Amino acid sequence: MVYRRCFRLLGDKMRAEEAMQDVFVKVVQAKDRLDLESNPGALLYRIATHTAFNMLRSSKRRPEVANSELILELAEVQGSSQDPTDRSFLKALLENEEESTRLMATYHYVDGMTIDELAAEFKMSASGIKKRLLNFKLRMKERGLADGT
Amino acid sequence: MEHRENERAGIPELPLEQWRLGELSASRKNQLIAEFSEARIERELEALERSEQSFLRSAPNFLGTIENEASLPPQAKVLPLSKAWPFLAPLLVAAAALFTIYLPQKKTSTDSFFEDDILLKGDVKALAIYKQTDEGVLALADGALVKAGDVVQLVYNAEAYDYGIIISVDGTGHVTWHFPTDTSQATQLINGQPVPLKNSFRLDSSPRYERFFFLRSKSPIQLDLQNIAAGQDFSSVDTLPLPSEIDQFSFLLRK
Repeated sequence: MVYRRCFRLLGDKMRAEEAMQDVFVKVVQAKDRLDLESNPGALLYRIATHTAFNMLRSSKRRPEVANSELILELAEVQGSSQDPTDRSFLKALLENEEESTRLMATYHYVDGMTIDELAAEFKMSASGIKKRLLNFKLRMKERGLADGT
Repeated sequence: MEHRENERAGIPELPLEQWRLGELSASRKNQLIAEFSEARIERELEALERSEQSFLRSAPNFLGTIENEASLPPQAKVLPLSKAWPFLAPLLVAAAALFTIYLPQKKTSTDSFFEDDILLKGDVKALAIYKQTDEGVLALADGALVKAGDVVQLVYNAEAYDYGIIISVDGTGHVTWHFPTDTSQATQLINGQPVPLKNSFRLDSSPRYERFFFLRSKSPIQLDLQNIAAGQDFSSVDTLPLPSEIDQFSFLLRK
């Protein structure tokens, strides 16, 4: 599951393997702070998503591009007029967002989870989730990354 | 922005992965079935399983031998997977020991604890379960706490019955046949003394519990236990809906 998730977001076998290693390093190092009793799969999934995004954000010196499929999906959802294969698009999308907001936006726009599913996953109210996503969308619009529709 | 709210093209990954891991609640499962159909979800779960098997084939089978938490290697180098296993495997073992259910493992058989002609001491009722420990063999009590990786041995006592079946149902609702191991075989029991099954087995990473059922009868038993027991929650239910002529004995191991 961890490898699958990393590969989906990174679109590259080698980098997905790197991310997978990072995920398990984090898990072992943070075992005393993690709630391992309930829904450990969801926790691993979240850590994998976070780790893959961090890898995308810190990869500006790398020649590779991010997962073009992911960029296309985000571009479609956001209604961006930018070239979706431009890495700066994804980097801008991921920058300056809280981790939880980034996860929510990804789960919703990329993975297709509903507001109710997000509310259950993040233990928040549906209205709270909607508000976070609305603010996310507005920030995207301010940065010229979404049409706001 | 919320065009996926009412009409989603695909089943979201996370709930599907949670379903596979036995973490998804019945109500959320029903919601997904209502939206995507059971057949489609089954296909997706099968695809996940194939993906899992493909991944595991490319790596050493480190998960089958998890018994103790490994120490973390001092270096966390980024290497190609083929070169990284010496470093990565201990990490994964340690992490998997923490996340004992993150990757369901198949139950694996090993040799029986007991020699064929051993006479077991003590009062073995219909079904007894023993655990292998560093100190020797430990008889488990009904409701005992166990963990993934523990090696256990089943011993039955036919008493006045001639035929029997032993199955277990885990916390995901998965049914495992212990006796007979091939459901097409006869189910005749050996009378007269407690009988260890031919193989012990290593508990897998399924969550919450393993509920064992020993069904005994004076005549051959022919039941569709897969349909009767699969997918049911036996965490607090210790009987199967069976004809009264079949004697039932239940044994719970908690995880």
